[in-house]
Amino acid sequence: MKVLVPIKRVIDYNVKVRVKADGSGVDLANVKMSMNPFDEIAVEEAIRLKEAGKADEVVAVSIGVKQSQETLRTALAMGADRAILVVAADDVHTDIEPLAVAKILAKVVEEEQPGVVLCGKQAIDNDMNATGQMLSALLGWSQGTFASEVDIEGDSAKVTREVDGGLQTITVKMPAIITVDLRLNEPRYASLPNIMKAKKKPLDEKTAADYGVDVSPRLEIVSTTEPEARKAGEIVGSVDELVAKLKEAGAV
Amino acid sequence: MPSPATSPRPSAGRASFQSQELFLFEGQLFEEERMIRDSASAYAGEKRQPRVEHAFLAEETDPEILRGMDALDLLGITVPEQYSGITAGCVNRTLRHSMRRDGRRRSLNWRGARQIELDHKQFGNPLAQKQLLTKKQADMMTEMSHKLKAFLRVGRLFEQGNMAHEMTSVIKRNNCGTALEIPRHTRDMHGSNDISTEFQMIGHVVNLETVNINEGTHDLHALTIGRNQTGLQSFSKGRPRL
Repeated sequence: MKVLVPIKRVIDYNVKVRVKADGSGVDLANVKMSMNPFDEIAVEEAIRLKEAGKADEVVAVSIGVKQSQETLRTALAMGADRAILVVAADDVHTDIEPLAVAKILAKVVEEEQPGVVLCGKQAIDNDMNATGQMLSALLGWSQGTFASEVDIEGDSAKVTREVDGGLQTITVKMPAIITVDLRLNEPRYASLPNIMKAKKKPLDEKTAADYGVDVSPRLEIVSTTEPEARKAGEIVGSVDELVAKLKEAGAV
Repeated sequence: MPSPATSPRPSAGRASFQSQELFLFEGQLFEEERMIRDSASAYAGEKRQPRVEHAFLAEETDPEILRGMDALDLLGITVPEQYSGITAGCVNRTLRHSMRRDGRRRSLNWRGARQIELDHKQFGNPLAQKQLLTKKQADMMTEMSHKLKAFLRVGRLFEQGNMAHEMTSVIKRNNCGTALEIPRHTRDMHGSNDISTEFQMIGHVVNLETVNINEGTHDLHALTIGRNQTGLQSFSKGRPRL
């Protein structure tokens, strides 16, 4: 079975995000970028499937700017076998919307014929949480979202999902799209020799036009604002006053 | 959120200014260099740091620290491939890695100190706005920025086979010297927080004092550099080596 893992290059989760002066988005110039953490978990799961003998090939695919090549190399260094880069934008500030990504991925799936698509549940930059679901709809494949446990046996997969207030276990028919959540696994660090080996692994470069997909945006960003700064605390004179204040705020 | 007083906003046409790296160091690294840096850094922060902290408190040595580094093949990366190293192409990172041990802690300390100063108010203003502290920040940042540039240069020369051992001496000496100097500054800046476990400063200072004084790193490298300058060796009474 072949596993396809779509990954996205996003602003590193350690970076303090700054909104551009004109409010059109987040400043990404000279900012550290890395693989979307949820996608890292998907890559790890795919590699584990291969190590367990359930998969024979792991293919990573990324759609975006040319620099996403670096993110794909990280996936290759972790253990993916080959990678496909679909260049769909020139400017690092251009975010390809989920529907366009899903359409391209659907074409890649047609070409590659994977048995399962493992992807992050959402990207930490725009928090859309939509691509996996859209891909499932476009392909007419089953979907298991927010997976915290995945067990693929033959033509079905048991997926434990993190839902509000607990866990839900479902069985889906293969082939399937599985979007992974934080607790599924702990991704490995790429070892130095594997980073060097990754340079020699195949990385195909395509463009969105190769797949005949129009990636022009359908959504308009009206404004982007930074979260409100935390307000200063208040010193109260007595326990009674504290309780009164908490009641007033509806906290007790 | 940083206020404009502490974090200058980039104006149009100016390079975006990241307070963590003054000379836009990131852009000077090659792809696989960044990957190795990221992998080592993630490991150091997530896995190694908690062990280091615990080992310091418990007054023990944790061999897992070395095993973890071995698992990522971070040990002996200058060793040729047939001896299970990865030889050149990567040697740059060796130097950067050796610096990481001190550098990571140093920049952690710097970051901690910076945050404390931004958070703590005195007479209605953040401590970070006081000139004494601003100067310390400027000194630390200048040191760290220069160091990164020097590391990169010497690392690249190593890869080309053009590194002289005196270069290592200059870097190691300067590194261990400032690795001590910076936490001394940050201790001042942390006030009495510096000795608490939470801020990890005193452990770093104790560690570096050992390197500097017991192992004599700073002084010994000075002798090597001095010999290069004067042509005279001052290690022992022997004949001068020219």
